[in-house]
Amino acid sequence: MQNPKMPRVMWLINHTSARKFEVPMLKAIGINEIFQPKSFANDPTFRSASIDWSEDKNLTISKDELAVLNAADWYSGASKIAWEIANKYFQVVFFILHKPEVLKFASKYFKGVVIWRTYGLDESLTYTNVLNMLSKGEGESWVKTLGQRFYFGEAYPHLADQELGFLKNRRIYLPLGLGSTAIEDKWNGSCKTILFVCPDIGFNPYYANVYKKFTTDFDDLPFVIGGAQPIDINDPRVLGFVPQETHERNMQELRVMFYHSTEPNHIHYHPFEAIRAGMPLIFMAGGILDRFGGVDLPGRCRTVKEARKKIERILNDDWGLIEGIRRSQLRLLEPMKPANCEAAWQRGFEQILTTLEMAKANQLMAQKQNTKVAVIVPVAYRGGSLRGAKLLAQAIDFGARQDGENVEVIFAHLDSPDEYPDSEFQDFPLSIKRRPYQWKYLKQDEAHRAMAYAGLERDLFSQKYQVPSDGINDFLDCDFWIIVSDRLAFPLLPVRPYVMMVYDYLQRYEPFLSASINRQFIEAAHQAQKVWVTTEFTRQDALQYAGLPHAKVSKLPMLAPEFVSGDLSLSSETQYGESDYFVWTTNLAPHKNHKNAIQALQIYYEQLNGTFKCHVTGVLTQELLKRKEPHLKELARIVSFSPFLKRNMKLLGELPEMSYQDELSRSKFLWHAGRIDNGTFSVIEAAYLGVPSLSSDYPAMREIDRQFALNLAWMDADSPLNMATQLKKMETSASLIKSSLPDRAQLATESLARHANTYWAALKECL
Amino acid sequence: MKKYGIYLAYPPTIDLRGQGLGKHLSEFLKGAQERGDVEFVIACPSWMRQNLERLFEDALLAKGSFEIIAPTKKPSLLRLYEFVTSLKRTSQKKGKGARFWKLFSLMANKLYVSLIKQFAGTRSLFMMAVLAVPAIALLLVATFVGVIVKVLLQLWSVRKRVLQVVKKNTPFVNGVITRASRIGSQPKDSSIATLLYRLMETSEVSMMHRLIHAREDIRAWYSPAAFWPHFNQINAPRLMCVPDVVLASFPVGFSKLGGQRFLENFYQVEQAILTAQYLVTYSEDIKWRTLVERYHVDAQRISIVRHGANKLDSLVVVKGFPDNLAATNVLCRNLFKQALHKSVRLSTHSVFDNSEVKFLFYASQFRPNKNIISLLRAYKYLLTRRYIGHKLVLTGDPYVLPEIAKFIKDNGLESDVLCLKGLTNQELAGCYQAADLVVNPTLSEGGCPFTFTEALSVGTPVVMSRIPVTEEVITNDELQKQMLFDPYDWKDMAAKIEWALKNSDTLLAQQKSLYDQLSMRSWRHVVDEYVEILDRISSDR
Repeated sequence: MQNPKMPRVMWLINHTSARKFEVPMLKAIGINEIFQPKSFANDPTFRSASIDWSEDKNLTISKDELAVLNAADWYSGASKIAWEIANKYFQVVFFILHKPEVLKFASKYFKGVVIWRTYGLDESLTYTNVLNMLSKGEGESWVKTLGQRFYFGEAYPHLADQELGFLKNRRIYLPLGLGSTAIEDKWNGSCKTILFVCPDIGFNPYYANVYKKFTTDFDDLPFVIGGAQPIDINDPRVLGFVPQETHERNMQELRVMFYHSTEPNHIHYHPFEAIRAGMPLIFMAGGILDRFGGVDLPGRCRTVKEARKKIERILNDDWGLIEGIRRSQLRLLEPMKPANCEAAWQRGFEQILTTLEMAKANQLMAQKQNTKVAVIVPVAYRGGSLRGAKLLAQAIDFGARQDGENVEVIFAHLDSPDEYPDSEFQDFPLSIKRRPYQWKYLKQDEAHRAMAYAGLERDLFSQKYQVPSDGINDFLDCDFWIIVSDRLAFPLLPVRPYVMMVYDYLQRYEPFLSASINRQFIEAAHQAQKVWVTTEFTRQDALQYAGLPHAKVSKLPMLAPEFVSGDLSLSSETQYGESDYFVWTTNLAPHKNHKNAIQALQIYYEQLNGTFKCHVTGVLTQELLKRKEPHLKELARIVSFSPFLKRNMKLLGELPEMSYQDELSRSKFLWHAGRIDNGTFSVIEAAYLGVPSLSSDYPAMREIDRQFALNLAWMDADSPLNMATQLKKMETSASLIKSSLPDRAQLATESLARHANTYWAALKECL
Repeated sequence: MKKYGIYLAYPPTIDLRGQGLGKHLSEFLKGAQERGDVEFVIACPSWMRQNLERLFEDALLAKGSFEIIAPTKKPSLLRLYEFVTSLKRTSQKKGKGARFWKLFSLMANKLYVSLIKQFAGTRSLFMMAVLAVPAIALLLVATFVGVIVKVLLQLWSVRKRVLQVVKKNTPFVNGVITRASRIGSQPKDSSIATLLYRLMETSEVSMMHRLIHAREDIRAWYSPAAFWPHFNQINAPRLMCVPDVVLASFPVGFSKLGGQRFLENFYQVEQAILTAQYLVTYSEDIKWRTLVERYHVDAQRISIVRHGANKLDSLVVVKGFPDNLAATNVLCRNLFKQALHKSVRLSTHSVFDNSEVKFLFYASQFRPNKNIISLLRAYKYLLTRRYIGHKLVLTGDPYVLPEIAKFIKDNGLESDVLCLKGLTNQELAGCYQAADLVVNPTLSEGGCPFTFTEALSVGTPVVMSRIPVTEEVITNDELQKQMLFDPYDWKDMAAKIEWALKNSDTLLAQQKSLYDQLSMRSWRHVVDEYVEILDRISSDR
């Protein structure tokens, strides 16, 4: 019967032997409702793990909610929903650190006490180091976030001695014992062979070394090696898996067990198994058995030479020594007896209960404030990129309001009135505040101080950091940042959690970035809590190229603006019939495929008798034939030698929005000749205006075509001949395609309003 | 019991555990152990004894299961060289001296802080005076020591500058210093070291041969490599293996690799072939095209023994878990992630966090016959035009052939073409298993590349170049069409890779049945065939 004062406990560990002790111990101190994970990693290092369903019947929680808990992958951190259920019913969580996410999400979502169960490591490691390594330096801040609710649950009283303060100061001693210390002495020692236990030889370098040392030191004596071997070992002395019957026989008949470990912080189970079975144990000094009272035992050895001598005596029937060892070694079981551990567990849980009371009170007192989110545009984006950032801000704002959440969205852009005039934001709802900023750069020591002041002290590795400075408080009034693109010259000061929206990894296909800058951009994405992308193509690049883990990357639907064309109506049939040009929307970026496009136009006019003129629009396109960049410098030469091109190409530059829509709506079709990017809104805008599009065929455009059902015509951007041929084909097919374009109502189904919830849900998961 | 000898004469710098031949030798001897009627005796220079014992230990061959005959003592010159290099290694390590100094500094600092604390906290002027004395003394000592250390460090750095000035202005001294340092760090690239080695080798070989000739119980001798013409001075039936003479087929490519040393080795190989009694090789192609056509060896004196299957599954296949396949995948992915840390000058791998990344794999050193540039061309096309998304993982050092490093850099492929080195066998197996597809673009090999059995043993399909030695083993027309490409046509290679990625299950299923056949050929079979040849030639005595 659950003691009403005692908490429900989640024991997020699957270690079979530990379970045999700790679950009964929890019950002994009055905790009867214990949840255990129903899955663990398919990792060869989990050889001692198993699943136990037996405690589920004692849990007084709903079946559906229990099913969610059972389905969760707790070692990978589980989901927010799972943690919400955990909060509802459980007050204490025990965990081991296989992956850092379990601690990260526990600190983020769990309201109760979190105990890092530590059973000891080999001497070369500390838990501080392990945490830092796994969490890339962030672990300390997670622990500090938990405050008093975090405990370092050491299985032996000295484990925390070598840890740093943030762990050491939160130590709580919960001794590890054995499920059963009953003596089952059936030993007869009839087989004059040493039993040495050494698992995982085939893939664990630590145990491979132990094996090598043992076989070298005892090469001339008869021995067998027990322990699980997930990888077969080509040594007949290594037993590998043996059936239970064989194992029991071995424990009865093998003459002596040698325990090699001198690790001061960790001990295995098998020496105790030998003691319980009555097998004489020869063990090395300096390990935990010394702390258990083994210092003056006859089975203890200070050197390998001494161990060999004693073992040889045992193998040569020195029954005096054998019986002396067997009798005296029983004392080593005392600290492992449940009865001898219970008092410490009682004391520990009294402390935990006090902490829980305090935590509960603190939560009641804490006021819920509205959430502020900053959407930050890191460079001077214009055109489609700026449009995307604005849509993102609007989606968050709209989605949050639809969900009844009190969220304030701040849109942050570089403080440059020329780049960002007020007119650019006329379509913004009043609820979104604009805030211009400049980048502030901090040296490493400055950054370190800033993090320390913010209570987020951690190791910082870069020499320089950047932080958006609004002249107020550097956006620290915001709870969360969304950085729209990964174009950060230096690492962002991690003073606020942030999500990064990455539209593409163009540099994978067009090497226009230096290796060092590219590395910086990739690293920025790694530091983000999450990376959002809008196409499957970019998602794959994020995983394959940038090397982001799957769990970090989320694909969200592409947001398209609703192209309200004001007084302009759809392109009428008359206007369309009279039109004699197509619009090539581009800019001066290298991936826009200018050379192939110009060559295609040349073929179209000179060889294929192309009849449509080409109107070129876009940022700085009026300088298309004047620039000296490597990818542009030849264009002027090609055009200068072609009277057809000179006659038929018109460079219009960047048009105001209304003028552009007017220009587009009266055209035959839109020509998108770029080679690779994350897709372009221009084809959607064209569809809104009833204008078909001929597009380069690459994955992102295919995704846009599918999402918006645009019926795009396709061309091979690598082949000027194919591009020209498709242009020629559009002379006859454009009107046909036009008739199959989606109407505005259909396009509206892909509106921001429809997808805002998805964006808000994605952000909410991070908050 | 029939006794046969194996002749080895590698230089001291070679560790067989890191060589393909080392693995083959272990497998060969394991196979030989299974036979009860044959014993192999290994003759080698004195400096190889320890290395062989370590090789056998790693391969779990019982100590003393093979006899090694070698001169007892190493040459004094070699012992001196080993002593000097071991000193250098010790001085480079942060040894006991550094640890002692750290501990000393820590203790001194602790004492000083304690004194200062008491000094600052005391209310008694007398105590202040008492404490001031040791504190000031400690401070003075520390300052003095610090100044001395600084001066020494300055002198040390000045020494380097002085040395630089001397080297710059006295070419003779510069030459001596450079040659001396090269002997220490890269002896194989030093002409002096090479000359000394050759003289030492001659003396050592002479001693080896005295031991060999005293052994009339050994019926015939086998040399697994063609590097040692002195093998042919043995007065007993002799069988020498010639895997290939790849320098002869790629003369321009190899002219820029290895310098005069390679040329010397080449002459040795030619001499060995021309004076050989009986030869064995791995393929019909090498027999006829190289040995018969180029070197005019009598075809009747040449035997062919194909390799045994090189399988890697025993290194990574996990057993005893509820889902063994999943556990194997996890292990292999961890091994791959471990291997990533051994990459050559990677720009982004320190932050590479996706252990599930998809990749193509080719395991080989970079040599002119390996056709790496074609593979890179095909890969670049597949990545940037066909958008396959996979990375390309290789196991060579791109700076060995600078054109490879240049291609990677010029085409912005540093983040997608990963060059790993120093992989353990288990890491190699992990990479094979984790890959989506294995590609072998080689232009020439001695026998059918091991790639096929290595990849298939861990369930990964493979596409390979269509070269004669491969066609000797992969004889099925349909399978050839599916998995072999023209190595001179990178577009064909790209098309084959792209098809294989889209149809990997089909390809794997079809390759599996050939693999099952090939994997029946164990090293025991190989040993049997060698013994048959050795029996034959020894009966000709």
